[in-house]
Formats: sequence, structure tokens, C-alpha cells
Amino acid sequence: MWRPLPLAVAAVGLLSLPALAQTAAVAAQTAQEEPAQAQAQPGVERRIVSSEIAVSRGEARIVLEFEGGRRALFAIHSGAAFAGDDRLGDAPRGGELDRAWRELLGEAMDVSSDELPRLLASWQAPGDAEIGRRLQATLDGAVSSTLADPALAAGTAANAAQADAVQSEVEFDSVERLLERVQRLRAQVRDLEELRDIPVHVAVEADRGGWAERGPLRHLFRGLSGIVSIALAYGVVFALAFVTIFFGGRRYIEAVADTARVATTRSLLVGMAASFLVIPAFILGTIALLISIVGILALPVWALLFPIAVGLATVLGYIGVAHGLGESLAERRFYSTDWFQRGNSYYFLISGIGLLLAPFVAMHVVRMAGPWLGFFAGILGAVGVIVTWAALSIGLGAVLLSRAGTRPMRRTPSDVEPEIYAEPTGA
Amino acid sequence: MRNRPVRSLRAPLVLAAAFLTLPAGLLAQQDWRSITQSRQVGTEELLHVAVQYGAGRLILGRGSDGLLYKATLGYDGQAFKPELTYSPGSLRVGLDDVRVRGRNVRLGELRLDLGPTVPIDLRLEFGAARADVDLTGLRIRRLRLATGASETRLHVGAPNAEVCESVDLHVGAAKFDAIGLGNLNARRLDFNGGVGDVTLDFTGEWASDMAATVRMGLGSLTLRVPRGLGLRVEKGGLLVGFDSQGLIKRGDVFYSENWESADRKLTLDIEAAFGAIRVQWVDGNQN
Repeated sequence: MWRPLPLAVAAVGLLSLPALAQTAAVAAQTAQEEPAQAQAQPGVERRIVSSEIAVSRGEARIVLEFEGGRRALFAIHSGAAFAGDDRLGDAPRGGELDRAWRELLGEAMDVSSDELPRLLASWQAPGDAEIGRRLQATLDGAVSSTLADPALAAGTAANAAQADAVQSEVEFDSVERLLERVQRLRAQVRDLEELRDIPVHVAVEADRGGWAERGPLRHLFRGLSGIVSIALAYGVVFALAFVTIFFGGRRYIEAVADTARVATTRSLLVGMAASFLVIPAFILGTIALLISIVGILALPVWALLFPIAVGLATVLGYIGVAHGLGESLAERRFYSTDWFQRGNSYYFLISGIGLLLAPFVAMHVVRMAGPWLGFFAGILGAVGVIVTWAALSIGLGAVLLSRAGTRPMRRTPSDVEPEIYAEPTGA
Repeated sequence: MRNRPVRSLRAPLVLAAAFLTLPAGLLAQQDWRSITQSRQVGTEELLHVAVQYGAGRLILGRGSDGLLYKATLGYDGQAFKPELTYSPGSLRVGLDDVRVRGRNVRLGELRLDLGPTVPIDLRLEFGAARADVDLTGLRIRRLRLATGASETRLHVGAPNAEVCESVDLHVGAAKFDAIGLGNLNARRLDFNGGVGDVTLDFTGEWASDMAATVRMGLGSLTLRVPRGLGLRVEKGGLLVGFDSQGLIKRGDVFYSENWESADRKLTLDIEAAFGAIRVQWVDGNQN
């Protein structure tokens, strides 16, 4: 944004030609903020309507906005002090001036807007360095007209005037500096011209969804939707189990559960083998039926019933494993009356299915915390997949070993170690 | 006897040292920044404030007279990009998350002071953050608060000089305490809660009657109602325990004993699933 050359700068510039040249060069740059000393217009009533202070490792800056919309920027960054786009001089990071400036801005963050002009005006640059005095003077020049205290305002205005006088004498306004600046600009132009041939790909970002997808709560919503989906899966599995038990299938589920508990490893191996062989078995069965005349008639039935049978066996196996898991948990947790109250298949299934799905729920809960826990969420997801795969394999194996729950494998009394209830008497 | 080889401790020590120094290394990479922006009241007749804050702590309160707003953000410059923009009558404050993996984002803080002279349309959305929102002394014309997994305290310690046209509270999985809702001077309040522990305190100086709808998922809901206020509760939902002390049931609706004679009345329509609702009568201003 271009602004008219302020009168104060012009007045200072008339004192020396180099100063005018320097100011003109600065104005010719794409200055967004005017040099602060240029805004000092003693006698004009103004106030600071807005301030922005930013402090980081590489920068400490304050931007003041005065009534009427004019802005002034003061900063120390890149090892130099600036007023607007004017480079006042070197101010190395960690140096005396840099430290004092950061201290001032730190205080400025805590004071109210009313107190800000006084704080800025009362700041004294440390040491005798020219750069510090110039920064102080330009700052004074910017805020002097906003001060309610006439004495302080007069003092800061005098500082600003003194700074203007000093400015006209120092090397800051030299022709050499102007030429140096021109050289730098030419170098920048050359750099930009070299960049001209670099292809630039512009991608238009697609609409990423609504507030729930973009806002800070998006992780929460994703996590909650994941938990809801797990809850739905839970509901479906439990509903299947409920219907099976309700219509007299409890003993089949219990038989599969007993088999899975008694012969876990065998069930797992048989289940893994079955899952690998199910497709070859289906293909071989189809071929066998195809090559016989009677078989061709039975082929549609085979093609329909085989997948259904496999699916039912898998579901029955999963429910059986969940039942066994719940039962095992209940055996460890409950005693006497608790066991009587809760020792039922429904309770076993509720807790067993919950245990099998718990890693997925935990994964979604962790995801709600945001992407920084993604690693743990991934681990929990992997645990969930492994648990599910193991439950499906063991269940399928148990269904096959128990002939769909009709011939359960149960512990014989000799498998169970006798429990000793009485203390030895020593007799 | 054959000597067992002595296991070298070097590798475990190196691993332990690396593990211990890892957090320090991560912190050292953080580029901690702070930015403060403040503005004096100009010609604004209404200030729209939109805050979207995803990490750390949020503190909102009343600023000095003549102040429009003052926002101070402390954040990790490597992880977040701040948004602090003002256009006439509208303030947007927040942080966009860019790279948060391995960073301690909880150290961040946003402090927002709002001036007491200009009416405010306040919209707060924050995620994994602790929030302390104190609306005492502010002129709230509209309030929308959406919070995720966080601990939030909303406090209204003095009567709102404006009529609050709407209060919309969305609370995810959180501990949420709203104290002094009676001071908000609102005709209508909508609360949507997910999972959590929620307290809605309706104490304060009541300037008008209020109708509130409460939708609650799983969790506990405590309603703190000042004695002397007329209360009507209509409850629906599934598997919800309702502790209706001091209320009389007529049909499907619960009424306080003073419902007919009370100067100010609160009508609550509650839908909840899996949880407990408790009504507590407390001493506190009512009108």
C-alpha cells in the first residue's frame, strides 16, 4: 500500500540530500508500515487503538495502530533493529539492546492499552549505542502525541527531534548506503527472474467437509463415530447370540466354548487350516459335483449352502469364544452369590464380546486425543485385529472339533486337580 | 563350573540415557512464541468473537473499561500456526494444528480478555483443552460453546446487562461445570452433552423466565436450582435415573411445589440415555 510521503520526513530530508535520497529509496520499497518517526506529529491528539506484540526466538516486534488507521512497526529481528521497513542498525540476538527490547515487550504484553504509551515512552535504550538511541527516539516520536502527561510528551517529542537531527548526520543517510540498497534490490530482482521458469503447480483444495471435519473437535467426532460403529458391531454380535440362545442354541454355544477353552491350541491350528482350505475345498467340491450327473443337480445347493455353512460356523465360533472368554473372566471375578446372579450366558457374552472388541474401542478413544497419539492408536488397532483373527480361527476350529457343538470336548474329572479346603492337621 | 558371560551394561545405559534425554530433545526443538494483540473500543456496536482452540489452556474473562479485546497466545511455533485477526466488529482467535506429533501441546495457552462495554456474540469451540470461561461483567448477546474432551468451567458471576438471545452449549466427552446460568439473562438455553460429568447451575439474578432443553448421552447430570425458582421438568429417555427431590409428579411432568406462585420459572425438557440426573436445591439469588 502506497502512502504519501510524510511532511516530517521531508523536513528532515531537506537538511541533507543523502537523507532525502535514503528516505525516497525506502518509500520506493513496498513499505507497509511507515517509518515511525514520520508519524510523530506533535500537537495532534491521537491514541493507540490497537497493538500487536509478538515475541519469539527470532523476533520481537510491536505494531501500533493509531486513531485514523496509521500503523507503526518496531522490531528487532534477523540481528537488526527496524522501524517500519527502515533498518536502523545491528542488534544481535542476545545483545544488550535485544534483551532490553524483549523485556520492554514482555512488560507491554501485560499492561493495559491505556498504560502502553507511557510504558513505551519511558523506555530507555541501554548503553550508548547509536542504534538503541535511534530506536528509542523513533518509538518516542510515535507515541509522544498519545501521552496524557504534557511533560512526558514534551520529553519524548524532544527525543524524537534529537533523533531526527542525529539521523541527518550519521552514515544511515549516506549515499553509499542508498547505493548498497539499490544493489541489494537488483540482486533480489535477478533472483526473482531466475525463479520465473520454475513450474508452479496450484492445487485447489477440495471441500474437506463441514465443521465436524475441520474444527478442533474433528478427532473427537471421528473417535466417537468409531466407537459408535464398534457399539453397532457389538450389538449385532450380541443380538445373534441372543437369538441363538433364545431359540435353544445355548448348549451348542456352550459346547463350542468348552472346546475352545479345553483345546485352545488345537482349535487354533484346526481353524487356521480350515480358513486356508475353505476355498480349495469349495472349488474341489464344485469340480466333483460337476463331473457327476447327479452332482450337477446338487451344484446350486452346494454353491448356496457351503458359504452359508462357513459363515454360520465362523459366527458360531466367534460367539463361542466370546462366551468362553466371558465365562473365564467371571470365574476369576465372582464368588458365591455374585456367581449365581451373574453366571449366565448372557452375562458371559456381554463381557466376552466386550473383551474381544475392547482394543478397537481403546483405539478410538486414543484417537480422540488427536493425531499425536496415532502411534498408540495404531498399536491398539493391530492388537484388535490380531485378537479378532485369533478368536475367529479358534472359534472355527472349535466348531469343527466339536462337530458344530454336538460333541463337545470337556475336561474329565481326572484333568481337574482336587481342591484342598482343609488345613493339614499334621496328625 | 563354567563362568556365565558378563552382560555388558553399556547398551542398556545408552538406551536409558537416550530415553531420558528424548523429552528434553523434543522440548528443545520447540519454538515457543507468544503474541499479544489488543484493541480499544471504537465504533463497534456488536463484537463477534469466534475462538477455535485445539490445545492447551483457554482462559476467557473481562478486560478493563475501554478495551475491546486483548488476546494473548502462547504456542509452539513449530507445531501451530496462530490465527489472530480482527476485521471491524469481528474477532477470530485460534490455532491451526499443523504438526503436533511428539510435541507437548498442553503447554499452550490462550488468554482472551473482552471489554465490558460492547455487546458480544461469543462462539467458542475448543478441543483437548482445559477452559476457564468467566463471563462475569461481559455483555453477552449470544453464546455458543462447543467443547470436546476437556475440562470446562463456565462462570457467570454477575447479571448480564444484555438480553442473551440464545445459549447453545455442546459438550462432548467432558467434565463441564456451568455456574450462574441465571445471570445470563437468557430466555432459552440448549444443552447437548455426550459422555461426561455435567453440572448446570441455574443460580443468579433471574430477570426473566427460561426454557431449557437438555440432551444428554451417557453420564451424570446435576441440576443446581435456586430455592424459590419455579421448576418444571419433563423427562424422557432410556435407562436414566432421576433424583427428583423437592418435585411433585403430575402426569409425566415434575413440578416444584411453588410452581404456580414463583416469580421466575425454569422449564426443563430433558432427554437422556444411560445415566443419572440429580436435582439439587441450593441457596442463591433468584431475582
